[in-house]
Amino acid sequence: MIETGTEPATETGTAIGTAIEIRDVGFRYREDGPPVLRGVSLAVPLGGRLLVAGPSGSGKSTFLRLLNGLVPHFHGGVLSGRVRVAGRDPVALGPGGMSDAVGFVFQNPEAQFVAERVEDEVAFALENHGVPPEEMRRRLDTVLAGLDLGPLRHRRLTTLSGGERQRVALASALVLEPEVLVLDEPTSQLDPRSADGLFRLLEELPARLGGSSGSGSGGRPPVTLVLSEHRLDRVAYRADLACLFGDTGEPPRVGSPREVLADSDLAPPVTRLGRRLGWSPLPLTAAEAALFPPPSAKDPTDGRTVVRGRTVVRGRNVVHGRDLVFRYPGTRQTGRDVPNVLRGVSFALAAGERVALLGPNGSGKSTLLKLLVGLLRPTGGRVELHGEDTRDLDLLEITSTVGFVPQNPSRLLFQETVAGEVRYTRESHGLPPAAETAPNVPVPLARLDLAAHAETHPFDLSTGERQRAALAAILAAEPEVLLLDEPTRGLDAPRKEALARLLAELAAEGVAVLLATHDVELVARWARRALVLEDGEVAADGPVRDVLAGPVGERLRLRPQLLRLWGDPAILTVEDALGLRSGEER
Amino acid sequence: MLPALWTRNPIYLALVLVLVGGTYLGLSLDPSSEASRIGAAGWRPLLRLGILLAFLTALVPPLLVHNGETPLIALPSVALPLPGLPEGVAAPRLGGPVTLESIAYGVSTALGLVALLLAFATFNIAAEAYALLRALPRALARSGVVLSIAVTFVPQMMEAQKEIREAQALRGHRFRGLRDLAPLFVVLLAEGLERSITLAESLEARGFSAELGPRRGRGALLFAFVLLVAGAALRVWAPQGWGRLAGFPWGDVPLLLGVATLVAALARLGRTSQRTRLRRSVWRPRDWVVALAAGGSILLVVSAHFVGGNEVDSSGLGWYPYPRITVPETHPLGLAALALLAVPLLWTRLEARRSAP
Repeated sequence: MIETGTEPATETGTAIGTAIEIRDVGFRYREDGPPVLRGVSLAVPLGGRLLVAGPSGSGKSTFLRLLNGLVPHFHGGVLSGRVRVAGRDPVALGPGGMSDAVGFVFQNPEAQFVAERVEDEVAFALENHGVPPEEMRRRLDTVLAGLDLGPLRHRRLTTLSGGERQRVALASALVLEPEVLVLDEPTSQLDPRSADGLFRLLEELPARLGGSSGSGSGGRPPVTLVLSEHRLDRVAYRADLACLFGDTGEPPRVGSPREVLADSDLAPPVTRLGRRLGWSPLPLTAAEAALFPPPSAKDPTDGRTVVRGRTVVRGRNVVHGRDLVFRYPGTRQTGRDVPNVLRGVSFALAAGERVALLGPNGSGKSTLLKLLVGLLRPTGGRVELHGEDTRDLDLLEITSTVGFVPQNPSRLLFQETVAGEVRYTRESHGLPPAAETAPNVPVPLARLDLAAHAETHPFDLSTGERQRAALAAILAAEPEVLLLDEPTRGLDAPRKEALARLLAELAAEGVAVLLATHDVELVARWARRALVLEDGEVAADGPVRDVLAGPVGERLRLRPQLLRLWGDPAILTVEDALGLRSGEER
Repeated sequence: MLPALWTRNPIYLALVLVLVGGTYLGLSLDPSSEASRIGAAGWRPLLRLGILLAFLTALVPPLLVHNGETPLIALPSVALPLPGLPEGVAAPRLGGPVTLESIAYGVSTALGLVALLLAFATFNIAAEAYALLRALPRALARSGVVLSIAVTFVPQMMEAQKEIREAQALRGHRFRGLRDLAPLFVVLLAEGLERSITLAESLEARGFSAELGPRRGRGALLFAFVLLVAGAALRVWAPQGWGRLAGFPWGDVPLLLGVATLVAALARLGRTSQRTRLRRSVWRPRDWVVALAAGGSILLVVSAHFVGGNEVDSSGLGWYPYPRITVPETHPLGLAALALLAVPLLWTRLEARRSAP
């Protein structure tokens, strides 16, 4: 099934039964620039599934765009080597000529929409290609039914949930019946349940679309999938070929996911654990790992010092939410029966706590964070800071205690330099200039590894750096509470790890940290307590091990891979399993 | 919308207001369409603001402008203390004689404002950009897609704008003056650019440029454009009465030729475009009625303007209250234009009655 770059292709064209063939491709955006891709060679059979992985900025996106000619046609650049996709040459034909052979789903579904309603959006590509109306209707029916979008057909795109929007984007790409479907990090904005749903859908595509579009054997070949992803535990086992990019401009590793991920940090938890314990063959999924004995059974005296973290030592409460109710103003007037976004949420945050805020898209997480920082005023109930009602405080007073990093951190930044951002925060809160570790390098920058960028314009930073700059700008006010809204979106594993370490340090210094996220592996490693919202109510609140292992964790798919494997709340992470827990948790 | 922009004649304006207001109310109470009711409700705050503004607008001329030959009452007059006025220019005075002319002017301006706003709101509730796009001739479809994107872009920008302001307020950034808006625009622009790149990629990936076949007829399009510009320039700058012979405005020939060339070029482009449409935007009888009535109305307003001529205005479109107020005249053509606008309303009533059991 798996062919790698060494496989010889026929002289005349694509090897028979090959959907994608790439031979020794190199690419740079400028003639004199550094190579972004180098020595890329691989072949994907018809109906195959290629996983593209690697850290941010390693060339994943560039590689995906090569497949439909967006690179080099749209972005410019210098390309060498041979590319064949669906028997065509995207370099010669460009994205327009490839559009009926390669469907493309971009990371952010909202940004790619052109119409107002589902049906129009999906039909757009068909209209562009001059498909006759009768045929158009048939294909629309097939794809909408296949992706369970039938009932949403005439809905406005703005009224859809994140998962529904992603399905519309998928339908828009599939409607031209492409041979190859490319998805660029399609789950980065989805909660775990929606993400699982999307992957299941991709799995079932042949069955869902094949049925009515002709016949099983004599019909068109199954769609070949190419997918890039950061969270490999959900996809690695579904792929039959993996392409792992490393440092920019280095040739990627190509092979079966098991081979390629064997010694990668990006591998799913069970793979990393198996590597440490010498399991063979290395598992990719919990089901595969279940063949091996849990580490405790294998060696009961391996020094595991796990005390089930049932007791949480609490400092004094800093923030208290009491029976919070929130409804967007005006939703009553329109006559629609809109449920309240929050319906009686109560909880407290104590100094030094590490709390994960979990829950499906639309459950009220962002709203809760905005209430805590005073951007929204509760419709009912109140928020107290050290016992004082925040309605009596102005925004500046609240933000000197509560720091908030929104989903899109670049929205916080507006100074000329990164050091200027820190200065601005200190000045607006009436604080003396921050201590400096070097001339013009205030402490928060040094701490966030931004000392070298003190004089850089925030917009010239990379995504990860920009996020750290936003964090530095917020931390400059020395808040007692830090709220973060999905800070790991688009961060690769090493950067995520670095962020988790920093947030743990801050908590150790007494800052209460509340982190809203969908990333359950991060939650398992970092959080001590989990607060789960569902439909605007607290579905669970307690020690992270109890919550993730409990019924709510099961229902909302909040279980990390190792918990799925052994069902033991004491083992959530590779470190748990190896008994490497640091002494900080008792 | 055209009459509301064109004229200050309070009779025309009042009629327009009644018509558009009726349509708006009809939509906002429409029991069969929840969407239009919600849409209408969404416009309510803005309309309220508009009416308030219109009210203030109506007050300004009577209080500040004292021209006009029919004084009604005299208010105590105060010179406005405006520093920095050049020597010899009298400061505007608040109060003083209130003339009938200035009241009429204020009221007609306010009427125009409200009518315009209502027309815009009604259009937005009733029509959908993408649906309109399908109704356009094929040659315009590409420009139509761009328009549709622009229309959907605006609400997203508004949303982003709000969130950026919130995020920046968290840092202690206050929006006091125009200068404080600079950071907002920088971020908004950067995000808009990022978004538009994705959008452009998405358009390419879905074959938006692939439909671009050989496109002849561009020369004709350019020629039409030149004719139109030349015609418009002649109309604006040519001396009065120029090109009028035997009662026919020969000076407007380039303009008319330009229109004809444009239509022909577009039709030709439409034939070469291979773009298809999901639905042919089935034109129901009522859609034809609306389109014909609107088109006819525009034609009538324009011809009323021609008939009125530039020197002596008998159409009533150019009514102006100063220096001495006159009873606004109306012209059969103008009234007919407005009557045409009422046709769709009547037609819907008729349809409703017919379909009722």
